[in-house]
Amino acid sequence: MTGAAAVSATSSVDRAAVDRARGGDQEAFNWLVDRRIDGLYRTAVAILRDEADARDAVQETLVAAWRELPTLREPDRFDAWLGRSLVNRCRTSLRSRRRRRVREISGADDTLTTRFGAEAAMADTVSNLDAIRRAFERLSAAERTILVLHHVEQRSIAEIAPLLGVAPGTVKWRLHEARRALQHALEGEDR
Amino acid sequence: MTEPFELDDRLLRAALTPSVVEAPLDLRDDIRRGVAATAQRRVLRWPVPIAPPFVVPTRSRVASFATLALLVILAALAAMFIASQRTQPLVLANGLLAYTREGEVWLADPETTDTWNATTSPGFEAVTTWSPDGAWLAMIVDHNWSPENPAFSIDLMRPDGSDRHSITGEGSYFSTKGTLSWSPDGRWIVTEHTTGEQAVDAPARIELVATDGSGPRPIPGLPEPARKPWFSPDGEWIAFFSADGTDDRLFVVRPDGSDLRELYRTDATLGFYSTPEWSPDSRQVLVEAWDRRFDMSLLLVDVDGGRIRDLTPQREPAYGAYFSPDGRHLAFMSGDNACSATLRVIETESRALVAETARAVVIDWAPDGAGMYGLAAAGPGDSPVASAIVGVSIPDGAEPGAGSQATVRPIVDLGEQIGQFNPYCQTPGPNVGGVAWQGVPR
Repeated sequence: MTGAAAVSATSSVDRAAVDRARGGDQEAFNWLVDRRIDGLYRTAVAILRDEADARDAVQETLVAAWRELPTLREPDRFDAWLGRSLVNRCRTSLRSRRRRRVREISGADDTLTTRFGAEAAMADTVSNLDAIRRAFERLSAAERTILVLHHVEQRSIAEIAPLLGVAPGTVKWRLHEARRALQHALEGEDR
Repeated sequence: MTEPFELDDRLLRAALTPSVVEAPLDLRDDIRRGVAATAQRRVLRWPVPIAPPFVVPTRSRVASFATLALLVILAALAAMFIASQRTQPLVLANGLLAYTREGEVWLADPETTDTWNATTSPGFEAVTTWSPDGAWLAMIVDHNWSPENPAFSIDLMRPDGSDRHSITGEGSYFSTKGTLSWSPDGRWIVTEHTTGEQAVDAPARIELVATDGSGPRPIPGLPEPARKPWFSPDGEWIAFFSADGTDDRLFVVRPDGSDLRELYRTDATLGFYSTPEWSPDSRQVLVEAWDRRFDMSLLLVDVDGGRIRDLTPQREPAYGAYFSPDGRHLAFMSGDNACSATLRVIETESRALVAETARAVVIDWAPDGAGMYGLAAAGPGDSPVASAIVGVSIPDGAEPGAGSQATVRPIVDLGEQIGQFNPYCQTPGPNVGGVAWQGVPR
């Protein structure tokens, strides 16, 4: 599991906790949150590229989830519901900060270059990674979101479709469009 | 400044994966405080039973039932509207175009631009194709419009609407999103028999339907589900797709079920786009397949040996492809996003662009190969929605590589938006979600 948000089918243990939380049990909800918050936070940071905004998005998502949980009709879909809520909040956050200067997150740290050292060396580099990150900043909210869901979260087409509320075929088209937009933005970086 | 480089999946992941591993500890505390301070939404649930029997309707209950009834009526009207938007033009043979619209078969004469309704049945005609000699129209008919009580049939009729009869009887599911393909001798139609489920891995088998009315029969020994069958031009083969849960696979088989060959497979999550397209010499099958970079390629696969040639002329999704009758040209749709559609014609051998026109989709080549029939947006602007049947001609003297502008001649202005060129284009408007347009027709 790449993160709590990556869970789309809720386990039986979690299902029991969801049922209790729906009934107003805060401890059960906190238990669910503890198991998911790291994954949700990583997803938000990946999409927003800003830790402060990611923190806000995750907090708003989870508090809203607590408030709205009794309206969830299919408890087995808790994680998909939560993931979709986070994605929507990230997209809203990106749109609302269009005019704000974006504080760039340094991703080229030791952890990352160690984990992906081989790939980075093949592509010659940290500078290419930085170019991709800068290009990513120029993408739309929808483009960022779908790239993170597939390439970072490594979710399948079938998992992404319900998160975005579109058909699997549309996910393929949007991934094509987002990759093409990123490639164009990279070409812009070269100029 | 960095040198241009190709996006690699692993590089992309490395660049976009954040270095943070855990959420800040104080965020957990903030959320706990937020939860403690937030009341849950209260949900009112209907008691069971909803109301005791023999309750005298109060004014408010009457109003509620009236509202409910109104909503049901509006939903029914909306469903009828959506159904009426289903239009699947098809072209072939004998100089007339045939297409389905509002659940009826319509014909159009490209010379006079006259159109007329060829059926007035209570059933919903969803797919229609001409027999090879142009003497008959075959159609898939949904008689009940009811998933609980399916009553489908395949019917034949003369172009003037006479002599209409079923060649299958009523009752089975024949996919209204499927295909009807005639054998060249006109004795058989191959189609897919389904349970009514639309998922690509839902049960479906391929059946040969005798046009003399002696009934349908499954082709033995085929993998299931099997979908999108299409006869080769010489009638010796049938190409079809099958999904095994892991991969989508392209097969060919003899009509009697012998000599089954798997020609190509791709990851099931990527899959094929439309229907197998045969080369005119029946030696190759063209498919449109997504790859892991989410580019869609036109792949030409040999029936003997499985050699694969990529005909994609450039890095844009290319789909909905049709060979010209002599095989020299290939017409297809192309566009970098689902809401743009450019009709392109290339020389098959060299892949050089011969002609193109924006906002159009090819339906099929004219039998003489002089041009194509297609769908296009009738008015100005950049609408991704088609509203006219058009003739598309390659300019005289167009040379491969020149990329001349194709000539578009309106034939039938359908007077309404009939659907996106691409069903995966999701724009606000009356055809949101690709409901109206059910895919590239074959």
